[in-house]
Amino acid sequence: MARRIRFIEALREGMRQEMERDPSVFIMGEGVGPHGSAFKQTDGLCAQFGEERLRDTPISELAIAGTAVGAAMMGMRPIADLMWIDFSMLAMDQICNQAAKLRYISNGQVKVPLVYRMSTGKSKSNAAHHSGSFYSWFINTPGLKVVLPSTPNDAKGLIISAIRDDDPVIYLEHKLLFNVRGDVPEEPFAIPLGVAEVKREGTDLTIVATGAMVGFSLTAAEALAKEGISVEVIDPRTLMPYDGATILTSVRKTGNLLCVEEGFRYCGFGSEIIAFVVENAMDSLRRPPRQLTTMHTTIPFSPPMEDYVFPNPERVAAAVRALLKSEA
Amino acid sequence: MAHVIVMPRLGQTMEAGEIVEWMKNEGDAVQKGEILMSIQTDKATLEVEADYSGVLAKILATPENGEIPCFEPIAIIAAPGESIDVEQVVKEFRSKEGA
Amino acid sequence: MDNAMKVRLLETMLNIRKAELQLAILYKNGKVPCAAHLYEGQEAIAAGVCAQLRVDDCLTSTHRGHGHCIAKGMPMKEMIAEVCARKTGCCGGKGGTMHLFKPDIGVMGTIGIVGAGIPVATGIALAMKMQKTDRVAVSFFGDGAANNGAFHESLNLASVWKLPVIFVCENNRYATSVAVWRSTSVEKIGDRAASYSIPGVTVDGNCVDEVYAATEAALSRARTGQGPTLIEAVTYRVRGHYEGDDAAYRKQGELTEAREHDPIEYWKQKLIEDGVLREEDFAALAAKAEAEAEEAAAFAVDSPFPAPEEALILTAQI
Repeated sequence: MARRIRFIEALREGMRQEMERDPSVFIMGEGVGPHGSAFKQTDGLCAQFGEERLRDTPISELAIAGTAVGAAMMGMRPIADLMWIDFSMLAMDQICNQAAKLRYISNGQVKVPLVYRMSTGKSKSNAAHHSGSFYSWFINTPGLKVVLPSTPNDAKGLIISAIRDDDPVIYLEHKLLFNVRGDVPEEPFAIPLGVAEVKREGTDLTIVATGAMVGFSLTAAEALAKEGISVEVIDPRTLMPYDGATILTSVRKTGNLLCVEEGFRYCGFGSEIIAFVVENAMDSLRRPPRQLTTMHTTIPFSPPMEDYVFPNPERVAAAVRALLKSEA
Repeated sequence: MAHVIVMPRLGQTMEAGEIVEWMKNEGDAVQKGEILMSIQTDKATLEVEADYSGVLAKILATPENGEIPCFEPIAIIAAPGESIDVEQVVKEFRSKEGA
Repeated sequence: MDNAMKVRLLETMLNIRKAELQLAILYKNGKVPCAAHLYEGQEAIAAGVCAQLRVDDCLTSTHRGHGHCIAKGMPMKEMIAEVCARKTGCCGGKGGTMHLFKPDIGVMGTIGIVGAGIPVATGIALAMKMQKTDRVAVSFFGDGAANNGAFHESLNLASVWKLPVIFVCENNRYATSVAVWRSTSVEKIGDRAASYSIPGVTVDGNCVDEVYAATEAALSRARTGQGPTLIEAVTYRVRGHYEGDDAAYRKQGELTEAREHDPIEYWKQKLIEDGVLREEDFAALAAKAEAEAEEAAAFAVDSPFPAPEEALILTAQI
């Protein structure tokens, strides 16, 4: 039965149910234990499962990421909380060279079923070291799967799939979404990795949006509908491997594509989707596709500057209007 | 059995080498692991050990040959007392190596 | 240590030595498609440590890891065929010389990034502990890795969690081309254990009996829940960093001196003095190891390469 709960509760419920189902699942990271994690993602889990399975660690990102690899190779299913995507840089070798590659280079003799959880994106003046959205680095690493849910329902269904997957999964939690509420079934359920969802149907233009950008795009679509513009919003949910088929179907219907994402423009997820669509459905495109991203700069601290560099619903709407007015 | 000794590759960037000196003469007995020759690579002068025990039956390349591509035959080591047809041994080697 | 074990240690060292020398030949002749980092001269460490491990104990190793695989029980054929990039290699040609795996005997990977195997072994030990076994993980790494954050973070975490892991630092005096005395703040890397409140010992890594004894103590701690140990085994890398490295950075006379303290020669003399072995026994063991290495090399060279399309197996595609 579905109830209306917060994103963070849905995420926690997914982890709790997997830990109840599978004794090999455990969580490790700085503060995941009695403290319940930086954003309270694991609140109450330590009381239920104990400190053996809610393992507080030192702030040793490399060791957290690396021990998760070793434990996963031995049949455990660790969820390693790296807290902020920005901190994952300290663990990049273990994530991209070890977790991502060991199954491959061992010719399938070992598998590395683990989840690296990290919060991502803008919130409030977190500035240069706590506002990162550089998931395209992980997308660009064969062997990693990358997940970025935009609703409480997806948060739960995707964490369950991520835990059950036999490959390492980067599970991104957008900080602006933690308190968003939505309907979530109480029983465990898995949303398959690699399956997008059409969050709103439309006929004039396809927006492919990720994370917090999905909500921004839906708000923009609502406003645009009043102007007679019908926007379809697709959330890939899994950024790698992404659901190319759903995107192509939509673009073949609308003939127009705008990618909205919080990462940077160059070699980003949006550029990838545009390249994919151009390669596979050029004949369906009525106008040149565009992307709206965070501006190519270090994220500034002061709110006026910070707001200036990120997408918002008004900018999404403006980008849609501009695209539709452009030369066909 | 006769074994062909080639200009060895010693280092990932090496494409050719020069013989600096043979430490053995034709007809000398050779032990596997003994220094057989020294070569000049793109990076350094290195001593090269024999890969086989036997007799240095034929030297095919000397310092006068200058640069020799890696894996080109430069000598033949045969069993003691074995008589060999140099051309035949090299031919067989090339056909086996697909060169 | 009984006599059978004494001979077994010698056999393992000979197997490693002969396999490595065979690889040197294969490399020279173009059968190894990449750089090869050989383990000659360090055999006593792999042999002394692995002789006491059970099949279900696990290890991680380094770019110079052929010897650890052999000591843990990997057939020479599978190792050499992998280094020669063949389908019959232990990883079907996907891994190569720096990425050797055989998890069913506890070879959980030789890893090409310096230091990166240390946290992985720590995690293996974490799983062993959480699964309530008495299995033990061993991480082999070099003096270079001891200056890497992975070493320090892992020793700290393993100590905090009292994990059943043995950290074996093979100090072969060179991190690639930089001498340990130019790069390392301590005289003995074993002393660094004190920072993490775990036992640390420094032994002569060319004396297999010293390595064996240190491992025995570390294993007994690990198996009984007393946590990790750091063993520094001092040795010398008698070959260059890679085949073809002229190692111009060595000090005058260093190599000659190291060659005189050869681990196999040391152990052979010891066994002869103890009456465990005769010269002719040694010659027979050496010949046997050499024949096996030659056979493995022939097997590798005669094996097919993997099909190109196999490259995409095991990676998610769009």
